[in-house]
Amino acid sequence: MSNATTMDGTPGGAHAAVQQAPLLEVNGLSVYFDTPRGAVRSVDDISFTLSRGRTLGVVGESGSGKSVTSKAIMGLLPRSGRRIEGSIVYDGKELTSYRDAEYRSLWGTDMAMVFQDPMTSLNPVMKIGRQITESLQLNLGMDRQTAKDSAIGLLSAVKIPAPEKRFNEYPGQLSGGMRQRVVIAVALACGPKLLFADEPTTALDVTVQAQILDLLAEQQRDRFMAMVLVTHDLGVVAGRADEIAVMYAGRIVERASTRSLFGRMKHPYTEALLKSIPKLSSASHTRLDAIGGSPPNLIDPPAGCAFAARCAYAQPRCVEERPPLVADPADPSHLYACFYPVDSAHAAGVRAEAAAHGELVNAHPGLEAFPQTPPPFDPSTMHGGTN
Amino acid sequence: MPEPASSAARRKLGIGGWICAAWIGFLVLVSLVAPMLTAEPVTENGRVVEGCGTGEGLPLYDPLKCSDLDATREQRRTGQAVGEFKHLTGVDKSGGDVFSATVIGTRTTLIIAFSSIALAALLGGAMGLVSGYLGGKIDMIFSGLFDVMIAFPPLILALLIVNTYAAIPEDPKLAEEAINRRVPGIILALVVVATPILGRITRASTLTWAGREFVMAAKALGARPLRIMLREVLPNVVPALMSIALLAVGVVVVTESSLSLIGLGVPDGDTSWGTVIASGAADLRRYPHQVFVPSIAVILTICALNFLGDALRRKFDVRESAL
Amino acid sequence: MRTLATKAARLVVVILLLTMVSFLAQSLLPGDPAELIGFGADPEKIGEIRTELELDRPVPVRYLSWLTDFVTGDLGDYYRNKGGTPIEGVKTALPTSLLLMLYTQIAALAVAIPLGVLTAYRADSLFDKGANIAAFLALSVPGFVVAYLLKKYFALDNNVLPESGWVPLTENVGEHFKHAVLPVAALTLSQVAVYFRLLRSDMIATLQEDFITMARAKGLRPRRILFRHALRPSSLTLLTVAGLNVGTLISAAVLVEQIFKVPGMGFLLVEGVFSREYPATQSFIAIVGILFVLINYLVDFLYAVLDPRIRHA
Ligand SMILES: Nc1ncnc2c1ncn2[C@@H]1O[C@H](COP(=O)(O)OP(=O)(O)OP(=O)(O)O)[C@@H](O)[C@H]1O
Ligand code: SF4
Ligand SMILES: [Mg+2]
Repeated sequence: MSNATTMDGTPGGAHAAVQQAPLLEVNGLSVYFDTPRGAVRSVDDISFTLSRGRTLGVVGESGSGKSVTSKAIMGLLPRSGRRIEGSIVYDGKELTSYRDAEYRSLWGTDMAMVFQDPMTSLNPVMKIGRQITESLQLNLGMDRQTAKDSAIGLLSAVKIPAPEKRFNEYPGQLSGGMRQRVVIAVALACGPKLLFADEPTTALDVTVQAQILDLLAEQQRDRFMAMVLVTHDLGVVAGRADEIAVMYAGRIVERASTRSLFGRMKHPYTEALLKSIPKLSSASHTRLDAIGGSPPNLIDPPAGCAFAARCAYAQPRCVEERPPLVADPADPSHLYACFYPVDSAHAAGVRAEAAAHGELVNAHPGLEAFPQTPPPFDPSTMHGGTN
Repeated sequence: MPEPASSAARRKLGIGGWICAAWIGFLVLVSLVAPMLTAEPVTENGRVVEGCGTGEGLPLYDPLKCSDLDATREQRRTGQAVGEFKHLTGVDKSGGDVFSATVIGTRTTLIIAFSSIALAALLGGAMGLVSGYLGGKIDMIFSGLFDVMIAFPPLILALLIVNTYAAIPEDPKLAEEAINRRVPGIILALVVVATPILGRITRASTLTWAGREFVMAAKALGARPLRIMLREVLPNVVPALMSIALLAVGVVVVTESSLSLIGLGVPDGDTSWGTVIASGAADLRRYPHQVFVPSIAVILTICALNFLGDALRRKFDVRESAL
Repeated sequence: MRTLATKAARLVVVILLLTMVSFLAQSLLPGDPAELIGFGADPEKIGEIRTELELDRPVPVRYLSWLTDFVTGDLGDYYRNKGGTPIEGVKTALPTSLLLMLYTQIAALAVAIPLGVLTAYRADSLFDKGANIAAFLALSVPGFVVAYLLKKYFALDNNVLPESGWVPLTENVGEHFKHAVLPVAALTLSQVAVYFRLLRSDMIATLQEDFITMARAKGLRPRRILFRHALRPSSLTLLTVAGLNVGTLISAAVLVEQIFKVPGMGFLLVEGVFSREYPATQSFIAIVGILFVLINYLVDFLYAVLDPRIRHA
């Protein structure tokens, strides 16, 4: 896709000086699932590139397709009932046609994943040491003792106290935060070049969230990995990603360098996300319930802008026509898909009027203005997602 | 919750389910009608002139009264059991028609199987319901009782009961009385075997339902425990109980035959699938058909019961998770 | 440790109740047990039997004295069977039965585990559907029918395996296994079906777990994922059911021992029933019951070994 940009143009980052071809190029990726009620388009025509040493933050509320995107690239989606379109080029190799056996040569050694819930992502009946050493032995051909030494090294690298002792323990004997460190150690074991971290802290206490994120950032820097950091919290990626992609209903609605995104925010949905960043004091599982309404049905998506039913700036045009992803003339690497971006005159007018009425724009959806009624508010879909 | 169960059940049963249900219905019909279809052999000077394979008479030969020894002789000579004379599946060593015996034995087998499971479902169902709903000491006693009863392998427990309650002594005076006690003894044994199994299922199911909102609501409205148990909990527990009870009928049919095979089954003078199998098993080399013909009936019946039980359980599970 | 102690206490209680039930059954015999046992013997002999069974003493006292004898291995004498005492019978029959069941469990698991794992991996494939139908049919065929079919085909019609009988392992290994094949096969079929169905559904659930995706993302081969990662967490229900299933297995074994004339506990038991050796029969029943309870207790231990979540709870 022509408007796919590399992130090497953006300032900052420890290895900004290193120029190289991108490690991962995703172009026009779409993922469909066949369900009894029709095909669900979970990911819809998304594109981005990522180079080594870089972090891409993927942000969006529950169900926006973040996990499906990561799993599609990793080749971890179920084989039956799903369809992938577009291209995924990793290190010069086209992955969309890869079979499991071919992917296997990449898993662990080239790309790895840290899952959302450390309570379920470790095998409960296998010692944690073994869970690390088995991939070392099988993928890197290490002997038992070398693998054990490396594993203990990894455990201490992810700051697990008394790694020799922990080596022989079972996941059940560790706290959530410790388990997530183990998951990270497992993921890092074979020195992957690309790491997916899918909401790595959602299931954890607020107090340990920052520690885990810092650990990930540190490892990413030290190992010069490319990292995709998935979260529903803009605050998490603010200081840790080089570039941010905001997803809504399976599409990227805004993509820019972190600085540009926060500096010249374009998309009303991004603005709404920013307003909903949980305060440090609030509960750890706060989802984006500050945005009223819920995402559209992915089986039969609306013809126009998917956010229209919830957008404070929406106009009749938004319902009829889908806004394309366009580049900001002032900064061609800043892409957004909106007819009336946050910094447009129209948006400013809406905000002024709302301020006059003492309302907060985007804290409530502008429902009255629209013909289609959104599905009734269902608290379970907003808070669910954490298994 | 009350649902339009009938239409949903019909849809879920499917063609296989209907065939299975039809087979069970057919067996019930057979056990009612078969005795009417047997012919009293007409004898002249001690020789059978009509019925029992002479080509005359009704389709079934009473296995206890008819002996077509000619057929047995012929069968032994040719080594062929099937298709000889008028005997569809051959005869036994005293000339009894195996097919007729199987058809006629259906009645006793079904009476034993259904009555024992009906009693066990009543008893186990009541115990499980009370145990699960009231909890406390009653629950402890009933659960403990179930545990001990289940600690016996089923056939061993049945054997123990039949052998004490309805052992047939050598003394002919005592024997006659014991023979009359045999079938009730078998039923008793099977009730004892099945009750803890059905009781446990009912108890578990009751526990899951007793915490539901509508039960709480009934409680809050001041309904009496007995009323709640019968009106609110029981209807929801019945599917689970029924699905296991169907499987249990199958187990009981097998146990009936098994008891015959170890000499503790339906006594001489009566015919059941078990007695036919057992007398064939005594000389498997010469009368294998006598083992396998009633066995086919046993297998088909268990197949049907398992299929229906599975279907019911699936349906029940769907309801369970849908709530 | 505490739970183990409670479990042990429970075990003792269940065993006591079990012996009580099998003992009390004897006093429910219709008529005078001594008359029943000694039918046809002269009154003197019947009087002797009566004294030996302590029939004039109250039931609890009789139970206690029977229990002490039972625990010390004194199972009394046969009244009619010639040759041997009940305890001698048990000494050879018990190992025979245990061996028979051990072979059956090994054979059943050896078939059911790969089958369950593979069908779960390829759920809804043609192979999976076929295996499920086969399992359903296998569960509908009573063990004794399988036994008679095997006996007729392999022993009577084709004479490739012995029709009946048993050779102890210590006597002749080859003959031992030759004689064991048919009874074990007859017992195995339905066990395979039970284990296979259970393992398959558990495996299907386990394969949905995050840690399986994680194992895939580590680059492990499917075989390693299936057998090293998925099998163990899936085998816990299997183990419990295997324990409970021993009850069904013992029941089936009674018949199969009868059919193949294997001198195991079931054979001994049925022999006792036929020859009206009531006291010995009650002891045999108690022994079989205790065996069953002990096996289930053992399963609880194994459970803890297999599942660290329980061990470290
Ligand atoms: N196997 C599947 N079959 C059908 N639909 C699926 C499947 N997997 C995901 N989906 C759908 O795809 C959409 C995107 O899901 P995804 O898990 O990517 O969301 P997410 O952004 O990761 O949300 P969360 O924050 O809850 O993790 C959802 O609507 C989900 O229902
Ligand atoms: S202004 Fe229109 S196009 Fe932009 S996000 Fe809102 S609804 Fe979509
Ligand atoms: Mg997700």
